Amino acid sequence: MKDSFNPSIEPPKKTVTLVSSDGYDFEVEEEVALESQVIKDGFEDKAVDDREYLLFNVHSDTLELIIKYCEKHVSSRKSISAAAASSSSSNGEEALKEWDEHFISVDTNTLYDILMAADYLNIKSLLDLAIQKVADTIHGRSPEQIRKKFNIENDSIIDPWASE
Amino acid sequence: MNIPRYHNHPRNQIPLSLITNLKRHQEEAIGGVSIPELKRLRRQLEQYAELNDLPVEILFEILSRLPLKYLLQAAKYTCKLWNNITKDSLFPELHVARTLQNPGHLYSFTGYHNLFFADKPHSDAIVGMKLCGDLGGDNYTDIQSSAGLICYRALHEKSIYICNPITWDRVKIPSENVGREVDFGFGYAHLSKKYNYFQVSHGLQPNPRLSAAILTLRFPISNSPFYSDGALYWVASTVFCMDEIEYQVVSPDLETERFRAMRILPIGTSRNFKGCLVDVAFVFISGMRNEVWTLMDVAKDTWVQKCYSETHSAICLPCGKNADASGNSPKLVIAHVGSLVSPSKIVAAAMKQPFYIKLVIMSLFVYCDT
Repeated sequence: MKDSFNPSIEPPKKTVTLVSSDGYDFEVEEEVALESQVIKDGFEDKAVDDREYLLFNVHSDTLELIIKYCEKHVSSRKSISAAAASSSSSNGEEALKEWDEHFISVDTNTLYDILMAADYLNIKSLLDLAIQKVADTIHGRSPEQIRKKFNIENDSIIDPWASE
Repeated sequence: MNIPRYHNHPRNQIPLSLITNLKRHQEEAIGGVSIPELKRLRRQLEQYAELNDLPVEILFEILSRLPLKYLLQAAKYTCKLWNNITKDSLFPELHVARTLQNPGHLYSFTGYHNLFFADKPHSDAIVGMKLCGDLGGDNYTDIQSSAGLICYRALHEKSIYICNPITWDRVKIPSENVGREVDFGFGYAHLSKKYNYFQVSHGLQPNPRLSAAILTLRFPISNSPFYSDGALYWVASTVFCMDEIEYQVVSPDLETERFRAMRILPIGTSRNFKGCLVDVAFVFISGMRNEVWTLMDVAKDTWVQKCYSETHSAICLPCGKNADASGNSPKLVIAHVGSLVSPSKIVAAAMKQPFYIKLVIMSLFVYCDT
């Protein structure tokens, strides 16, 4: 196994391997992976040295984004709590919100992928963010515009907006 | 299926960007096609994703985050599935959960004979929304609200109504006990998903008594057992003399239908009791400052003060005037407005239960120790 080629040196930080549906490995820090409730639950049940998770439903493109999100959230949580401990003023939370906003500004298909992955991995904050993004995108559009934007078939019998 | 695996690379401690590059090199090595091209091809090969292919729970969540007026007037006509979701009996519960987490505020303004509901459905802009119907400024009093419904007394009819101000579904409390000098409480027991309407009439001296009618309005769709963890808490005032009022919290236990008196609220909070029963929060207003005390632990009788901001943000009113909420001195009601719960349905369901209304009379405490 890959862990056995240099057993004497303990890595400074524990890592977990996430394997995407198309077979790519992603080595991430343990705390980053634990952002996912599913991995966290699995982690508590599993033997310590089994550190590989096969994510059959998550494509590598999406997994890359998800890991980016989790890494950002773990690191900014640290910096926010560090700033709070030293009682220095910081706009860390606002910056993170801005980052989130930027992160989730993706095309509809990617948004779907993120939604599905966040649901599958049970990353609540990301799922929340993506759901809110979809809701925001829907808001203000007419039914016809919604159908067009989100590729929904019109099977509605009554549509008071149809005349427009 | 033989999934290609690349985990023989010693990638411990390699930053993500490097892995990504590695991945890209591999892809390029495999296909000899550029990355954007690969991505485009993948998109083409896959069936074009549809929103309605998402798990239905996620669709529920998405739709429940739309402002209700927009949802009812436009969004639900998008397709049958969406229309059915808004009609689903589980759908109002999502709103209830959300409004409990993040209550909107209900304002009434002097000069405007209507209630305005200020909400933050999108971005951070607070939008004032005129409520349906003619909940006129002079016609109502004692507004209480919880989990999407409001309960108020109609002055000219001397009767108490429960209504959903979004859908304007309104139902009169079917009780012959209403009338004369009664106080009422209205709250949502969120563990058992029940709305509780609670009515107290004060007895006369020299035998002080508190009588109460408890009308349990149950979520009609709830299959949970009748057992209720939820409780209503009541602030009873004890008037010693003109300017000395003491408040005590009284809670009817819905199981035993007995009242228990809890200790007097923290000292200094007993001025200008505004009153509402939202997650057992009591609001006190002194000047411009609202104090909200929440009961955190029933057994230990622990109260925690939650401070609301001293001034309210300006809200945009649909009557064409941007009103500064603090300038117009609105009556603030802690409100959980914003759900599709139908009060007439739950009252109808409550009335089907044989003992839906109960009169509890018990000697509670002596008002004066003279």
